[in-house]
Amino acid sequence: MKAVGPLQSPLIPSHNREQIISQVLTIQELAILHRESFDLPVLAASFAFPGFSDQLNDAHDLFIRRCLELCIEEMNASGYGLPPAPFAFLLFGSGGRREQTLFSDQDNGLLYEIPAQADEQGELQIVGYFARLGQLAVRRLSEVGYPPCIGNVLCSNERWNRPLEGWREMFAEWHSQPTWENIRYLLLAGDARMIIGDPALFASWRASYLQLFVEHPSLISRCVSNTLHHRVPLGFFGRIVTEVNGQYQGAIHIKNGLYLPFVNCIRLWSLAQGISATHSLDRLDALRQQGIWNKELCEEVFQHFQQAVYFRLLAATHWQEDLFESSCYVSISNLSKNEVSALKQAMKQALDLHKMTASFAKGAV
Amino acid sequence: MNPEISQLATAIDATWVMVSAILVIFMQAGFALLETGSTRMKNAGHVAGKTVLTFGICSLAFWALGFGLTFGDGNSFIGLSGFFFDGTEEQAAAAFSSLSFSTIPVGIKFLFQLGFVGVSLAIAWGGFAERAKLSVYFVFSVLFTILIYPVVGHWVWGGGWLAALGMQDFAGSTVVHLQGALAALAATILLKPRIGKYNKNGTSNLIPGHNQVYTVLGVIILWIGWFGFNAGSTLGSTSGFFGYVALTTNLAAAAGAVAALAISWIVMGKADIPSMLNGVLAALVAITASCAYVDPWAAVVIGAVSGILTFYTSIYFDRRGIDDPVFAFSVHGIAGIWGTLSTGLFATPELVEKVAVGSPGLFYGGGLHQLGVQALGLAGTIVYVLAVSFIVLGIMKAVMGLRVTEEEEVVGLDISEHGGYGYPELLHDSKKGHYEGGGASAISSHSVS
Repeated sequence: MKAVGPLQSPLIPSHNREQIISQVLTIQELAILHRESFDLPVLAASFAFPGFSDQLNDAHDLFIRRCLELCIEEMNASGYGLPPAPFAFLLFGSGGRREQTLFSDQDNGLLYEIPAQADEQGELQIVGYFARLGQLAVRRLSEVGYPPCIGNVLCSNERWNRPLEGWREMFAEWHSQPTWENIRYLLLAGDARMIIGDPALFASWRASYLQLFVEHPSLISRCVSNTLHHRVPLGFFGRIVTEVNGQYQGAIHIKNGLYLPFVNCIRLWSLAQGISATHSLDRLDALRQQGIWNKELCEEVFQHFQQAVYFRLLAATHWQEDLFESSCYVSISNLSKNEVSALKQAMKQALDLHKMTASFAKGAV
Repeated sequence: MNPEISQLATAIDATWVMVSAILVIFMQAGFALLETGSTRMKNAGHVAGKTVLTFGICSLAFWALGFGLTFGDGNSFIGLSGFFFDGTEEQAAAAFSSLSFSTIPVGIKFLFQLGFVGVSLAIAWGGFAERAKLSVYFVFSVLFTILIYPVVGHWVWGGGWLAALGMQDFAGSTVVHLQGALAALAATILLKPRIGKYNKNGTSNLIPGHNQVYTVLGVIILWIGWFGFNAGSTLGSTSGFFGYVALTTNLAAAAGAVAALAISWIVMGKADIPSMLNGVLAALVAITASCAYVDPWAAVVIGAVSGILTFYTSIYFDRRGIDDPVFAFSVHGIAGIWGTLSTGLFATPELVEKVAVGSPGLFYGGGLHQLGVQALGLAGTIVYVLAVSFIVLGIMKAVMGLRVTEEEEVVGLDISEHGGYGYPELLHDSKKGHYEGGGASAISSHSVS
């Protein structure tokens, strides 16, 4: 179901981008290439192309992967050696879902394994190495063009940088103390995707995570208020409720008001079914294949989600400042009549999904 | 009626009007809380404190000249007698024939009317908020009380040309509220927006007030005070009519609250408390002219329309680059205009006969006559008050300046105009540098070491 466009567009570093990026030797060089690659005026014309988002995320993956490789090389050159144990570098949020826009921040974590035979000193050495690597990675990714997440979901934060057992303990804590914040963390982890590292280690991590929902199905209902947290700004009589004041007057927060309601609902339904995919459209495909959502609904959600992704990309073109914040707002007056109509339809669909999800949690479905 | 009963009736009337005067003067507390809560913490002491100062100045100016100019015998444009009011019935008989319809003591009439001009002035200050110099409050308090308010007051209530035409403004939608709002509009235009209000692309930033609870409490006080304002304007209680006026007043306020909250919810997607509070005030402003002339259902309509009108116009003026910090013009000006016109639409023949001013409204077979009188009164008021306000404030701007410096505005008027914060514990440490630079006590304490 995922859209794969036959794209040979004026996009990102085209054909040989993988080779070019993999040959970059310094962070500075990578930052320059990143800046040149994600040039808004050049790319804006391609936003509507099917598959643009996939290509964009391929490019982000290449940059992030190369940056992390350079970090590991830097650690080695600085005398800390190579990674002393299997590890997996995790992307959360839109990076984990492969749904990043041109302007994306970092949401990441580190997972590593402490061998059973490791003594206390060995364990300390491993923990110290990955703590240092986490801090370096956040700094270097920031230099390349990925500002750190303001919520501190970063591999430089102990909470998101720990051995497999530590992660498992944290999963148990999230489950046993399902505060709003812990549930937020739990859902964040649901989007985790490994960008570099040991696939087997990540698979163990992922299995432990999904097992939580199998063993404790009631967790799903605890996740509902968080999932429905973002309101869809569609008011009475189908009127789009825009910002009344401020710099974004006449605009809507497209990320919170349209895109995230889709992402969050699709994620919750998927987690309830043990679906391990993280891309929202892959999750949607799995929901259809498992017969959880019928074909018509999936097709509708697919179309409207694509619209949400398109509007999210478009947002950055509506403002003169290419700030991270401004790329979340869509100015309604800059949309064509057809676009406004499509936006309203997508918002209605998001509202319907909210209602479905609320009913689902009550066990009505 | 024998003399004893007549004296008793007068005493009861006088007591009610005295209570009303106290209620109206107590509205200063409402305005202090409303304006302070709706503005920022760094200006809180100044905004609240200046209410006391300006009511004091206003009282003196109204006693010396304003009362005579408004209600004194004169011509159809202005009163020319009764200055330096001495509180005697002899002076009342000689100079205040416009107030002779009521037999209560003239001193109570003075206090009641002083409460009104005080309210009008308090409304005007909304347009000055958070950036006007303290000295401006001294000067404009006097000029408003003797040059602006009395003229329209005399036209409508002092036996002037609008009174002769039968303009219906029972308690002052035009005389009190619109006048204050027009002065606020002139001031806010001349003062220009507060720092940080508008972005480069012309969009306006919300500068939220620092204490919504103060604002709510202020509105509740004003709502209660309005029973003195409107029901007290019967200038008596023995007829029982004040109860009816209180009824229409309350219905309008209630409708304004509900309508404004509903419209904010529909338009903004959130049930906005400040919008609701403005809706209450706007409804009270609108019903002020018509409270004695309209049926209860019409009061509900007038109040609800006010709540909605004020919501939209406050957004409109804000987007037009007019930074009116507490939306004084929308709440008191637009609603004042609507309220004044509303009686030309909804005034019933029975109530018009009872009050004995003007004629019934359009919807009660009165044709366009009363509506025309109301519109003419509004036009005259708008032209006069705007013109004089711009002239007076324009001269003040040229001679003494209206606005504090940029630095003073940033540190806040509490420190720049008064040398101490309204919230010292909260602001002292975080603004230590500012405090040290602005407060004499802080400077001396550092000098000691």
